[in-house]
Amino acid sequence: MYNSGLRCGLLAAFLFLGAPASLTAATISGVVRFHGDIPETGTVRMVGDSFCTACHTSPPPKQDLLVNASGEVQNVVVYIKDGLPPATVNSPPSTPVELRQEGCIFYPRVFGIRTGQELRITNRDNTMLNMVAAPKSNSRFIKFIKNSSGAPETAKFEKPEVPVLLKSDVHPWMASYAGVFNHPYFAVTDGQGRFELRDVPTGMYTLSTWHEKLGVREVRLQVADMETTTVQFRYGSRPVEDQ
Amino acid sequence: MSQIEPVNGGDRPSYALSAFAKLTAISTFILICAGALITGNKAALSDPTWPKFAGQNYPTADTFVGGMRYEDSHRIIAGTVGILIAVLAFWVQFKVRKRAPKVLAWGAVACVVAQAVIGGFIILYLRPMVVSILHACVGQALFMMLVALAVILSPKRVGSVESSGTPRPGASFFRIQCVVACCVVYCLLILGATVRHAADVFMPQLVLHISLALFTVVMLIWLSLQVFTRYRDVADLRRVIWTLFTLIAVQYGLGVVAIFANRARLQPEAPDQAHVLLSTAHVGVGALILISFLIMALRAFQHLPVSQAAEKHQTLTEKLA
Repeated sequence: MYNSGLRCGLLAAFLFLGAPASLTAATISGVVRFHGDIPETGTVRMVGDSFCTACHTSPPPKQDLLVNASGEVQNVVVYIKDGLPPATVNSPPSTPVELRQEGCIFYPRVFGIRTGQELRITNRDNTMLNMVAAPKSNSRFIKFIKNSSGAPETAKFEKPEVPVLLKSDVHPWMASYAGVFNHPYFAVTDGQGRFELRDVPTGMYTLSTWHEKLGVREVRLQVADMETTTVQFRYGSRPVEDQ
Repeated sequence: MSQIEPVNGGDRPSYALSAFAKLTAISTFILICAGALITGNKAALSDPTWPKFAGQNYPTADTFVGGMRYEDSHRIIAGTVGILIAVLAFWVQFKVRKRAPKVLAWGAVACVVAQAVIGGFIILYLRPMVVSILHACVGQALFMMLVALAVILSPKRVGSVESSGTPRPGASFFRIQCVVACCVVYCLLILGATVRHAADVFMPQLVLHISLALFTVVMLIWLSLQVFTRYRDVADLRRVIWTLFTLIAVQYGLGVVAIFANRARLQPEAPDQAHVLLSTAHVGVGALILISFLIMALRAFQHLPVSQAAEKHQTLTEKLA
């Protein structure tokens, strides 16, 4: 009798506490556009390592500013900067974020990662991988994998920080940027400049973007129950919010 | 007539030792330039396996790639310079009787060992800015020591007698000014290293660096006025003055390029080699300016006796001894 009552109580508590998160969860989606003349993409200048130049028939395009013909911007980090209740800061996923060197380029160029989540670094090239992280808030680290047969390296970030530059001191053109968050509400825009943040609790937030060349945009928005809030960020002009 | 006395207190000149001291000083200059190439090529942490070469005991063609070429070349040159300095110290120890050259030689040994440790510290602790600046400054101090040693050991100086032991007007003050000029230029190089190693383009240091560079020109003009009015007969001083004017003119041009190169350093892309070479030249010419002021100070102590010590004038070497 006592046990069944306890079970009922726990079930009720679970429903009471768990339900609001799922019932009130909303989605923030949108697109990041570039306003103005679409800049031309230059090419990466690879010097000093014959392996790297041999990997490409022609110099690969730079990844620092990828804007498609419609003006949509790739590799923009979009995240909730503030307004989140403390309860949303939970433990990081156990799956690692993969970062690889291939053709003497780091992939992905921009990624998001949780504090405490594992970053797994692999080298697919038959030349050195050298990765130097020089964050401002987190601990610095350096990873070195001699060639493709070398074992993957791992790293973790302890504090939220946007951005963290991961660069190579062997191949100075190589770079990757990490956005480190203590919550799951972040995304990196795809080739069409789109992003989506799911299961966002109801509330008033500052939604922020970061791009390595274009900088930062911010917008305040109200997220309502079970609704999808659409936001359009524009670089080159003031950000526009379409609710 | 003044007293005629060998400057080095009776040591017989050794051409071989002098040549070796000069070779060591030149090697150190090359080492400084090699170090500047590392910074210019953003390759400071390219080989984190210090003191090895990409995890191996010696460099191979496979590991000699990208930024690692600069870092590992610097290590090889540093090792060679270390050996040269150690040999020089033992040679001086057994060949020279005076104390000053011995102090300088063993001081250089201490400096080069310290540099190796600081270099390792930079890599193992991921390039702390202060330590990187210290590495650059100790490198310049080492170069100064070796140049001073080469000057002191030169046969011309060891075997020479002073042109005149007669006290020169204002010599004491001129000597002090030369030493102060050396210190100012050394501070200028420290500020330059700060600008170069800063994680960002650090404006206050840059402004201070440029201000001190302007002050150096004023200082040089002031010193040259004294040389060309009071000490025209001292050819060594005149030569140093003209050398300094030339070097400083070149350095100003290189400095402008170095500022742009420093801004480009912050971008994650392969550095422009012309910028790298010119900014490396800025570091190299800076080192040459420093040692030119040092040589001027040494020449002032050598050629300009002060009135208080007219009977037995003292060279800088003797003072140190």
